[in-house]
Amino acid sequence: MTLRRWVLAAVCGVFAWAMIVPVHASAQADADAGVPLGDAGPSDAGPVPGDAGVPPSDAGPPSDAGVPPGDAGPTEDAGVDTAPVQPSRTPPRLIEAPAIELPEGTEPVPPGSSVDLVLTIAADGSVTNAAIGTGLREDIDALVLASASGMRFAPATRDGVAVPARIRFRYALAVPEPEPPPEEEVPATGDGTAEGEGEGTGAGEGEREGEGEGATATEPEPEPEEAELADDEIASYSATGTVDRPEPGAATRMTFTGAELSTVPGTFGDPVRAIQFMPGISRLPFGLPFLVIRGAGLQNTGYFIDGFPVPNLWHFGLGPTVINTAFVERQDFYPGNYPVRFGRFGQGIVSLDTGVPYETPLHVELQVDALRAEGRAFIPFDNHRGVAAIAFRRSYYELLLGAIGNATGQTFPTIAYTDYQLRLQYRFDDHFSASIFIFGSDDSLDNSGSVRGGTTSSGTNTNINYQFQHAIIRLDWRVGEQTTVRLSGSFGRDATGFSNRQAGATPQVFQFDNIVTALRLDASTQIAPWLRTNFGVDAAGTSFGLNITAPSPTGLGEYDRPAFDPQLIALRTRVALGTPGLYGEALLNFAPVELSIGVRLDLLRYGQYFDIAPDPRVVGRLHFTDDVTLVAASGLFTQPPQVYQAVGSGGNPRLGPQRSWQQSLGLEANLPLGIFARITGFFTYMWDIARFHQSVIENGQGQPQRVFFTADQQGRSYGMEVLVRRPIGDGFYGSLSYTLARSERVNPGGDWYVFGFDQTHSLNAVASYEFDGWRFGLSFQLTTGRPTLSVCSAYYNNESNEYDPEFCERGERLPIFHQLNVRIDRDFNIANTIRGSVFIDVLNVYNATNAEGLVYQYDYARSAQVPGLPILGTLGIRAYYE
Amino acid sequence: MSTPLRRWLAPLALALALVGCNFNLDEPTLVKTPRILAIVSDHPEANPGQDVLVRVLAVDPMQRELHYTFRACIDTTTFLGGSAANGSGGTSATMPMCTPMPSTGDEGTMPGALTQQLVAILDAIPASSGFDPAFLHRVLATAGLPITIRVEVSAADPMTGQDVLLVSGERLVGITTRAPTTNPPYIYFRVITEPPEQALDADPVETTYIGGIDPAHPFDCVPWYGEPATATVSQPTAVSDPGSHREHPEEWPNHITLAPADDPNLWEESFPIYDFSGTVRTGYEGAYYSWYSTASLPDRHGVVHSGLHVETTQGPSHGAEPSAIDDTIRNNTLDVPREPGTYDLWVVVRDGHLGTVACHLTIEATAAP
Repeated sequence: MTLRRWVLAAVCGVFAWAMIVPVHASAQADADAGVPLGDAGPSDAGPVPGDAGVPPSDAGPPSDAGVPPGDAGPTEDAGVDTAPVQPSRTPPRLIEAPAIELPEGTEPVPPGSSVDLVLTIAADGSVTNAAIGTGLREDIDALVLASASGMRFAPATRDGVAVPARIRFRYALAVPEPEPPPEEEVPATGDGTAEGEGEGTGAGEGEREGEGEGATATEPEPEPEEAELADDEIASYSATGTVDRPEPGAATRMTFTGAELSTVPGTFGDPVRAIQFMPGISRLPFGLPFLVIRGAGLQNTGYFIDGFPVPNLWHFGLGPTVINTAFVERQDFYPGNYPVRFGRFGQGIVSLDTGVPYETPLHVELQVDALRAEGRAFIPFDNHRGVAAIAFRRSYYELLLGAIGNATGQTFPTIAYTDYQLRLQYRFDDHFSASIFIFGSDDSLDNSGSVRGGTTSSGTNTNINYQFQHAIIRLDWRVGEQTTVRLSGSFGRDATGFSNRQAGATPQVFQFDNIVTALRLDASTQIAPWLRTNFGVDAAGTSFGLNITAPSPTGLGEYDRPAFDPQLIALRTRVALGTPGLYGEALLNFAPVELSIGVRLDLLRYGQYFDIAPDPRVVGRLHFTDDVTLVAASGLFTQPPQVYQAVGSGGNPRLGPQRSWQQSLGLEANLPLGIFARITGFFTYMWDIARFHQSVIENGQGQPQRVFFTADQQGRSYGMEVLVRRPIGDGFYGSLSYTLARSERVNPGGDWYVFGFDQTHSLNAVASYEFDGWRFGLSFQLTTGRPTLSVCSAYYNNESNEYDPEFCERGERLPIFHQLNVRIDRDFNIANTIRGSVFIDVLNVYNATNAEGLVYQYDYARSAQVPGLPILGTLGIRAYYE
Repeated sequence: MSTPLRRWLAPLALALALVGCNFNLDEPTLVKTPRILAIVSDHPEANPGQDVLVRVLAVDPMQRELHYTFRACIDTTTFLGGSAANGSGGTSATMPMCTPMPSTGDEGTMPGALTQQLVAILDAIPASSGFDPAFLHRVLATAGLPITIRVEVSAADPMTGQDVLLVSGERLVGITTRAPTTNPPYIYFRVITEPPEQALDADPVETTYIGGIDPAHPFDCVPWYGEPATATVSQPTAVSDPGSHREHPEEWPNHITLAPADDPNLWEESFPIYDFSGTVRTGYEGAYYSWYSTASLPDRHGVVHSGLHVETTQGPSHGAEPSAIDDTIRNNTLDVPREPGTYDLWVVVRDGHLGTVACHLTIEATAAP
């Protein structure tokens, strides 16, 4: 395809990247025991835990405290050089195991006795299932089995990301001696690996406690001989995301792990973007980096990193996540009825938890492709008690687009993004760890001179910039066996800016510069076998700075002028906003019923508004069988208005928050062949939605004053979501999601009308199959077109010299959107020295002509469709040396 | 709170999508279809009880006989600045009260009785709205309140003989008990004709026109000091690159420069307004020149563009308040079509405070010398 031909194909799209040939090169050094990180672990490392489709558990605030520094043990590369390169994996390692005590009179156990267990270990290191593999004696087996549920492991990892695993585990039994031998000071040396790679004491504090009792006891001496995976799990190292074990306080949580998702077609390898294929998500034009969930507004979705909100999660230009996904330990997506530890958003949450495996060796990696360069380094220290990590990424779209522009005479927008991360984490002991995570992101888009939409304007200039720098300090405690506490604080700056310049006019500038401080205290404790509580404090204080040079809102007695010459005002102000919140929930388990009852209290104080918003939420589960569960949820959600809506100058300082009442009812089932299915019906009623409305009130001085926002709009959205997912197995994974939904709004005294991002039908299919070193994947999207405003007529406005449209009662829609994306990966291994993969990821394979919007003639007599992205491909190679 | 930038991204994406696109939509400065170009009210503001004369400058390229209907409307929901429907798909709770206006041809009259009626309506409002009468009368004595004039232009269908609506428009007339503001007294601009390519050393020919001063022909631009009534420009002798005429007007051999003339008379007025915070301040009129023409040129792809380069320019401002515009476009440019012939040029001047004046000028493109 010639450059010119490509440009012609892409010229009406947004980003004309041409065929991109990224080159990925990584180099890493294993400072310790030779366990490789990265995407190409040795293929002969023996059976290793993989993603067995075992749902990770969730027990309140995640904690990485207590994960002992481990001796990862050698993983020899036996020189298998023809097999497909496997991802890097580390097996689970025992952290602690409760000692068992034999009742008096129990028949002694012979020295060297052991019980073999088959354990399923979740991604958080907890044991979710245990069974006797090779028993010793019935009474001993029962004791060991009971003890297994209290064991805690450092989870298995794949490419540095914790994954569930199933292992065989040998529980060695020993008779205590009067004077126990001295233990090494260094906590667990990493024995208990699922690969049986080394001997170790398996020691932990729990052991010593057991010894201290001085009774006839068994000493857990884990000596796992092997890790086993079911046949359908061994080859399963790529997934489309997992719907893991339900989080009691959330109706639906979809959990993704970074490296597992890097092969989803249509995401350009960015795992966080795979959310777009989940049910309930409305497709946004041109891959805009935000989410519209279940018919709510753009602003009703919150993006969190380590529990603190950030303004955006993705870069411009179909770019990746704003933090390097190697730092993403866990990614949760709550489409609605999210748990009470989150708040201040009207609909859904995307939450990223960050972390770096303590077991990581010294690792340095550099990746370069046609669009961006990035590097990262993980540096363990103090015998893996601590890890320092750093990453940096910079795009250079301008080089490619500039070259295309020079060749074709076209002018393209300039897109640039940068992000960086610096993380330091340290584990003081098994019960206490601390981390500091500093990260920032900067996106800018400048289309100076490139937009010619105005037929008589020239020299337009639109610039968007948004950036943030945050620091998060986190302290994790594990108090006893049943309680976890996390104290975290965040300090940062969010800055967003938009400027627009029309020919001959003063630039219009919107700049928001916010200083954000926040503090969280999250605790979780198991009070009784049937009761767990999660509670905490979530306080946020923000100083919002506004710098606006914009068209002046018209005063009373002012009238429209020709749009060419807006009267501008300059507004510079700073507004403080404090929103402390409390939450608490009780998780009751009365099998077969689980019930979560929680409430969140947010204190809203801004402008002239003060209120305490109580948000009660309840989630119930009824397990008909082990495989079939009914889930019902209902709750209130409160979201304060946007700052610019509530400022005294130009806004409405008395504007109240938006409220949502969310209900959902779903049925989940584990079907044969490892298929998981869920069907969910939802209904959300929204009220007090803020909207622009130029009303005039008589102010306190008896003067007429315009109020530009009122919170008087209502909304409702309802629908059904279906998800059928085949987890990883036999090299295949796939998911099929379908959403049938309707979202509407109504203004006071008016009729219900269709919301602008409403999509009646949304079908997403993702499938991938690995065969003989090749992986073939495809994703397909079919959605109803977005509603458009039907213009019945338009009349000439003499004052503005423009035509004002008159909209019809019922809106039409854009044509159906459909797009097929394909990805092919091929692994290679050259003499065990250079390994990697070659891949091609193509969007819109059959170059469907989709419409993303309408552009109208000046008098609205005619319109034309704005075409979507044309076929867009990435051809890449990634390689590393070790 | 999340960034409000999200709401800007959708239009931005749309704007980006326009990169390099040509949707083949008509341009507003090119008159190809029936259009209302101006609705002039004499006066733009009136005292209660005062008659108001409304004239419509409408054009029909098909030269049909146009029929006009006028209505005066009072919208109690929106005349205080509310926007219940706000273009978002909902419907307003109340409908405006409209009254037909007596008319003759393109002129309609809003009788003083109607402007007086507004006062009575204001007095009736407080009981239901919570505004006290003193407040509303204070507004009437300062900023004023608007009445909407709606105009429909129709012509007989050649097949059925029935009138068919061609285009509609509306304007506001301010009602106030203070001294009302007026229209700009005239349009005053220069037409500067470049010399033909063969005579590049010759000086440009400059002609000054004035419009809106002849009551008998209110929409005619007439030459100043007996200059020709028709602006003449020679047809270009060569086409260097017609497709690039927008970015590089100098490459198009012959064009007309349209320049608002410096006016020694300080006709721009001031008026009281309540700004959006409720503070009374003084507003100032400006001078906004909007240009329309029937002259067009095709680009290299065969897409027809207007000969005019921009839609609105700004005249010299005499107001005491500095303009927000820092590098105002003063002059416009009209590229001369390839084909010799007669083309129409309209210019409408608005003062930004309901004042409007408009006139028409014929441009004759002659054969190349």
